[in-house]
Amino acid sequence: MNEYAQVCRLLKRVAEEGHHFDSHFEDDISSSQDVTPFVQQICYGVLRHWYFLDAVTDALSKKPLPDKHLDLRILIMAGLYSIDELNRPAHASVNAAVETTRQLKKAWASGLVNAVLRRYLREKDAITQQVTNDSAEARLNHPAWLIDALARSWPDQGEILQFNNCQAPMTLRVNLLRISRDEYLDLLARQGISARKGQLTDSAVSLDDPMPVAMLPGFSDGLVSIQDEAPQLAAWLLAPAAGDRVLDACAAPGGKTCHLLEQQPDLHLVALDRDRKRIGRITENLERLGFSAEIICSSLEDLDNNRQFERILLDVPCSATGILRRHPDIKLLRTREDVAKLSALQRALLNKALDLLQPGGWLLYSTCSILPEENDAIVNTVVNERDDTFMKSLTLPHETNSRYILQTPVGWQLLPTENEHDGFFYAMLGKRNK
Amino acid sequence: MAPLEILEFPDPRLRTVAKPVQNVDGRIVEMADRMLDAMYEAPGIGLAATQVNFHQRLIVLDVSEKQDQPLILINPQIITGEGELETKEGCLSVPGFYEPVNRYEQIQLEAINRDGDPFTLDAEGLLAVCIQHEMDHLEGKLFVDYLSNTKRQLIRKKLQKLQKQQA
Repeated sequence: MNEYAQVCRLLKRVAEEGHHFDSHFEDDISSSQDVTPFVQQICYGVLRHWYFLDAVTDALSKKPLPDKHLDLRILIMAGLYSIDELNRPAHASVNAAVETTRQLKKAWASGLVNAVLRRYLREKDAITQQVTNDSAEARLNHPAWLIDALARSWPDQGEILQFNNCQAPMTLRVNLLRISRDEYLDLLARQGISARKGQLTDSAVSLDDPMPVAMLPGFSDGLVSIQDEAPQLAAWLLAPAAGDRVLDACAAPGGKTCHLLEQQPDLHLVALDRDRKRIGRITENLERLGFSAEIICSSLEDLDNNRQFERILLDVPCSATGILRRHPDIKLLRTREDVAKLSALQRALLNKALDLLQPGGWLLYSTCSILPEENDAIVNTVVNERDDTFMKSLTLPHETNSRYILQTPVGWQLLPTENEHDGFFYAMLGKRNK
Repeated sequence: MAPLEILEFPDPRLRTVAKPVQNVDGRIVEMADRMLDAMYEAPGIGLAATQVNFHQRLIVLDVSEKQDQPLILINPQIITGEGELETKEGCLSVPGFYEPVNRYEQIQLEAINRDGDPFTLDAEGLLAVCIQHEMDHLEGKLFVDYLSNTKRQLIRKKLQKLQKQQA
């Protein structure tokens, strides 16, 4: 199968069956298969620019393509994306797409694909102008409900929609138990890898250009892990002390679990996740870094309330609207209705986690969402419902006046940036002593 | 004193929201003068404190032809804005790129001068555009944010490449 046919097959499963594209999620379709960097690049590109490419495809087709030919639609979109973004002659992209119709067993469509892509080459500017004028979805490459929700929530930060369509930097978390950040930057510099310090934490380093993980100095020895800077705040904020009983309540794939141990190896740490497949990732990460923790595969609801913890990290399942740069498939998969369902789940999880929190203990609530109904609203509701819980003030490790880091009545909302951290939310709750 | 260094896109420090100036003291006036020096040296017609990594609400401008009419605005606030004007804007933090951006054609604003006295100012045309551009900086906003994603990313990649060569 050629690479464009593979793109069509993979993206069809995202658009038609609602599978997540990448391994961040439970039902991913790309990590289990041999996906070449080229296929990855086209898939991410098409997902990032989906609404624009879809509108262009409609504008260029004489008759609308029926739903049963979703693969052809994706092929055209991949062809359009290749023409715009790949560093090679446009006709090479057209030919590759036309050729692929046969692999899709739809050779009859070769003329159609050829005609559509060639018309784009001729009329690109006019068509682009037309579709971006006609539709905010095509202009901003977001679904309409999300455009509305973000405009309502962050009216002064409209540019974050554009940032969502950018490629995020590759960011590392330096294992400060093993090496200082300056020493690791030296190590990178000596190999000719240019990188910069993160601004929010003392553990983050962002590479100027992405590179294969296996080639990172010291990766297999556990000197560094891959993690955006926003989630790196979790361990800095929760900051458990030696000997604390700590629960990481939605732990997979274990990035924050490991970071907690890097900061304080002497913890009684329980890493819990309900997903059996992804729980293996926690073990892998712990092993690479040389840590151990009690790993429990269970829903949080089933954990016995007699187990009490001094510190809890509750990184709840969420809309993932803060990490669209890294997971553009979310734009296609999430609906407004999902957000309501997730809010109910978040509220239930927070209540349960608070039951597991020892009086006098602290709980850090976090999401990678930038929708207030998953953040401020959840914490407010639950704190108001419970007599035993109060909001604690939360100070970031480094004072900041960034336009994309906002203090809310409840906690801190990080918005996605162009070239720095993802969107994230943190709030700290305390439980009263009896 | 060493000349001020002007931060370049995509430096994250350009995304800082500036704080109001509490007291127009010698330190602020000195900073304004150094910013004017840096602006004339560049050369440019406006500079916001954010661009020199000083995060208080202070901008300097000079849109006169002979560059002999410096203007210092402290804690500027737009009261009214009218009309629309599209001009090709450039920015000392985004060197070498000029792109069309839409702004108010006329604005009225309040600000404080170097003596610490409040005043109002009516501006139109280039001066109005320039003030709005510089005031955006104080909010951590850049003119490239108004451009299409493709254009902004192209600019970012080219600048990063240049910055790397110079490093």
